[in-house]
Amino acid sequence: MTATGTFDFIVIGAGHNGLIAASYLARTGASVLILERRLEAGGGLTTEEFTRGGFLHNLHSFFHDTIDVMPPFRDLKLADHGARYICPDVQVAVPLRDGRGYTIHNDAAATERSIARLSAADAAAYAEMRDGYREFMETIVVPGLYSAPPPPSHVTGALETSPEGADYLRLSRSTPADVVRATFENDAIRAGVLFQLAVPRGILPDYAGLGMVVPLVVSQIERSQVCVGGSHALAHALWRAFVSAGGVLRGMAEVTKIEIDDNRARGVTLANGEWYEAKRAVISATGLRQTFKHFVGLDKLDPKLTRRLLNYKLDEFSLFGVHLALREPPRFSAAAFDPDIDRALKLDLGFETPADFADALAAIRKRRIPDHTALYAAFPSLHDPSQAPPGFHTGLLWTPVPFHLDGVPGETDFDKWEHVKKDLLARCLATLRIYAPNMASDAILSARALTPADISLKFPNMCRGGVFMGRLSQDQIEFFRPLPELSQHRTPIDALYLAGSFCHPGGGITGAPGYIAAQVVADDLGLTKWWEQS
Amino acid sequence: MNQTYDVIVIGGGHNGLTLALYMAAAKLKVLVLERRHEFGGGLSTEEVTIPGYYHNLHSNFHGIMPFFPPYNDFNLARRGVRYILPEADIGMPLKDGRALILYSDDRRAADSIAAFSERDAEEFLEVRRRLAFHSAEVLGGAFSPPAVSPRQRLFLEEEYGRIFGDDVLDHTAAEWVERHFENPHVRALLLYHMAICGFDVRLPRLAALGIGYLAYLTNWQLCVGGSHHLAHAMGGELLAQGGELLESRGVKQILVESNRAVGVVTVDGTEFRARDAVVSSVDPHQTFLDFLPREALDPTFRKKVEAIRYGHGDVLFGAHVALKEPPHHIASAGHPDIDRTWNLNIGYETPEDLYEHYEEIDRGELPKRPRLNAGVNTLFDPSQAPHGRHTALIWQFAPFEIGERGGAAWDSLGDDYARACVDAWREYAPNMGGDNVLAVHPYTPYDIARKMVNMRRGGFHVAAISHDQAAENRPIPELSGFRAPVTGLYLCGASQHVHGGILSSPGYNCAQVLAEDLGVFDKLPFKSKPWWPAVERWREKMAKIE
Repeated sequence: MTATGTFDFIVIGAGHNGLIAASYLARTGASVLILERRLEAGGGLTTEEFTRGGFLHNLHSFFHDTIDVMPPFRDLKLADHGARYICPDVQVAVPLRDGRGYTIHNDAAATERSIARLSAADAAAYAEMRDGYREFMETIVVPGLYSAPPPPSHVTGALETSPEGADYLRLSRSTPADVVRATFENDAIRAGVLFQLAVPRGILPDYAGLGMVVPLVVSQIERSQVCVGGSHALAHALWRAFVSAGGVLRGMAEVTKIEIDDNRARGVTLANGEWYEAKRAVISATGLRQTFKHFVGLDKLDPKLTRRLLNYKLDEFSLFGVHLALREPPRFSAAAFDPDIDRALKLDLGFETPADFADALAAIRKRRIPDHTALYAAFPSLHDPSQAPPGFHTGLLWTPVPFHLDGVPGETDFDKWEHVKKDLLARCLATLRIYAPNMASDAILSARALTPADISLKFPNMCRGGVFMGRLSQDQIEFFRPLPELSQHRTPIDALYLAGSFCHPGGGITGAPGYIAAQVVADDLGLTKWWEQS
Repeated sequence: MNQTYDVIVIGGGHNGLTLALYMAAAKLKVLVLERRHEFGGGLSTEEVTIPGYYHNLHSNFHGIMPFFPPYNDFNLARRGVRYILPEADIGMPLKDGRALILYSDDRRAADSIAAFSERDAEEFLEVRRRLAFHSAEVLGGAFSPPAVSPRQRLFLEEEYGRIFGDDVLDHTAAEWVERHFENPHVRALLLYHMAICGFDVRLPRLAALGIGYLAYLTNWQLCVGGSHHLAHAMGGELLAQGGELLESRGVKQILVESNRAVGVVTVDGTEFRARDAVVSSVDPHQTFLDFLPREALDPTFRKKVEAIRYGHGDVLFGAHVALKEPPHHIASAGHPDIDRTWNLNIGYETPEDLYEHYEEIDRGELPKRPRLNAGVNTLFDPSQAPHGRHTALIWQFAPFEIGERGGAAWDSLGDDYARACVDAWREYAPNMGGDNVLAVHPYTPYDIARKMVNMRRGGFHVAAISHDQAAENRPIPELSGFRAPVTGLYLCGASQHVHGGILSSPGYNCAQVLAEDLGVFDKLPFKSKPWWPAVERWREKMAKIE
């Protein structure tokens, strides 16, 4: 059969990792085709007028942490291609029911002053952890995000010789909850740190061996930034970088099969019957199961690998989102105590103690919606007014939930979520009003929910609504993500590589899986690297 | 980023992109600035009901594919753009179980008409024959800048008279249709076709326009993967041609120095300089009244701009529907093809049904009995919904302002009215309700104006079509030549000849004018078929009169 097109490389999936891998390869002079199942490129970089025209809602990722340290941002000149960022001074706010609260700032001294009003000891502990780990994070941890994960013996061997390294290894044997309990005394501080790990990063408090991420958050080596015009603007910049490098992107092109001949990936077939030939390699930037179960076919794999693949653990929780079109910005009661609360980028509303958290997780693990509705909230138009019509605002509320619901009528997960959607939306708004009483019906022009079922319908790689594309448990991170034999982005199939978020370092807009995949492909095929490798 | 360009285009809709593509092809350094977070303007496809269900929020039925000049000149097929022409292109089921279907094959269309009136079937074939002969001239007129002087205007009328027959110029489209066709249902379908092109068929002296639409009557085509696909291809081609395109860059000011447009300032305060031209593809109100300093314009001219009318005959309420199965019409019992007809007239069974809506809208009322322009894209392009599922589009003519309650009343009325529209369809297709309807998303004229600010008062033609805002008068005589009274400032949006809709003619016509002014006309890749020879003939005729 004649191929519809022949390219050096075919990348499946135009999420940010696919676009990044494809752009590095295109700029080596290779011909590169990206095939995207959806109409829009960008994956989780989604901005839509979900409530009403003129109100921009970032349905998935709404802030980006690693722009300052992300090699692709620099190498692909994404700022020149139109990506602009705003870095709010006040990164996090935790208002409390008793009217107090605290804020985390880019300015370390401001953070300490704010925490000290709740606990002087915690302010000191926060400063100590931040100062003690910052250099280590900058020089060891962040570069580690952007390289293929080395085997554990290399890591421990290198770390155990320095005091910070040894301590990092120690934290790697604890849970985040243990580290937080040992470091801070105030429950609100403890809960706030744990919430920052869980909702946007997928690391739950009781995950054994994940304690070392606590200093990553506290050291603030990552700074959360808002993409001007919405997160999808970064997708446009990536698209421009790719197309300007001569790349070809096809939307609404659903891959159904990776053609394998003599254990080598030869190209891909689409749902509409077209087939594209890849002369050098196929790179999958989709999900693990999609890649192997649907595109490759389990019959092409060693049964032992198949079993291990199918045992890959998915996320333990999903997010129920409420997107708001607002006539006015929220005014938090606790702003009387700390005015900076009203201008924070991210807000933790309702998880005031680690126990609140533990209760919610217990419910989620029993496939129930937690009784206590806590919110991870943001009001992006406060920072980037272009995301709402003049005088209006946008808001988003996320609450952690299970994907499967027990005891709810409905044939499918979609039906079940449709059944509970209205009620849960109302509960989210009720929680918001506890902390920001002006968020009554007059202030809300429109509120629309995005359920876990919606997430998985839109993004099949976000299986069961899991935005992290695989649980970040100790046995599924670093050298073990997704499995040791796949952790170097190569597969048992020749010329088939992996660039999805199921690879190290995981989900979120880091660009790392795509970046690392491009390095590995370039190394294997002897491509001249036009960039300076991190 | 280099902030000095040869040409800066305000607005990244398809007309702005068209103009930019031709200028980039002429090796000028071009920047397009788009206010919204997405470019493409009315080429907008979004998952507004349920993820995986794609809905064309604005243009859905593309009428001149594949004759769209940039499609040919820039080989957009190579960028993955594909169109489908449904065999049963436009039609109407009737309550009594009959159906009138106009197939893309005229012979079959005439057979369907003959069941209503043999005479009308013959007249239909005669009109189509006459228009086929002249269709290149029709496109030629649309794709060349209109004449401006009174002498040229007389010539133009003569020319239209020659094409359409001497008796047409003074008539309304409605009169012409009623004169030529006898059966009320045939009349209704033809008038419906003209009306959804976005003009009030009762307005004087617009018969020629309506007849022009009959030249492309059964050429409604569907962009595979959604209309926004075409925007992606145009944007990608622009980058490949060396042009630049930035979103979320609303313009707040056009810089004028010594009565010359020299650049723009965006709302974030960034200044972009233009050596040769600033071209606005947005509406004349924003261009002249918002972006230019008051003193840059003659007060009489400003008054004329203020008086441009927006939103008449082109204001639509949309309802987007996610479906389990496609509509199954009662009329399909005798006419199975009606279930596979794309552009559907649901309910305008006689011309009076249409006139009744016009009258309600004139009074600022919501039409009480919705009658629809509808279509199910997924019958032809299954990629627009999850496997086996369907999407449906509903358009309903509507007022922008609802009585004294104004446009904001739409915010509370949209949901119910969308349901009422689906119910109106249900009278013709009983499965359009109950469990089969998974979700309905209203899209009101007020939403349209909020989202696409150049579609003032919700009108998709940007300046409403009337005899005094068409052709050599579009949108006012002073601007019909695409040049603004400020040197170096041009207009290429839907307010310009020929009008809105996915035609690209305003962008294409402006490209001709601008290229001549900049001395790069010979560098343009104008090689499109079939109308470019006709455009050349028009251009020669115009030049002789000067």
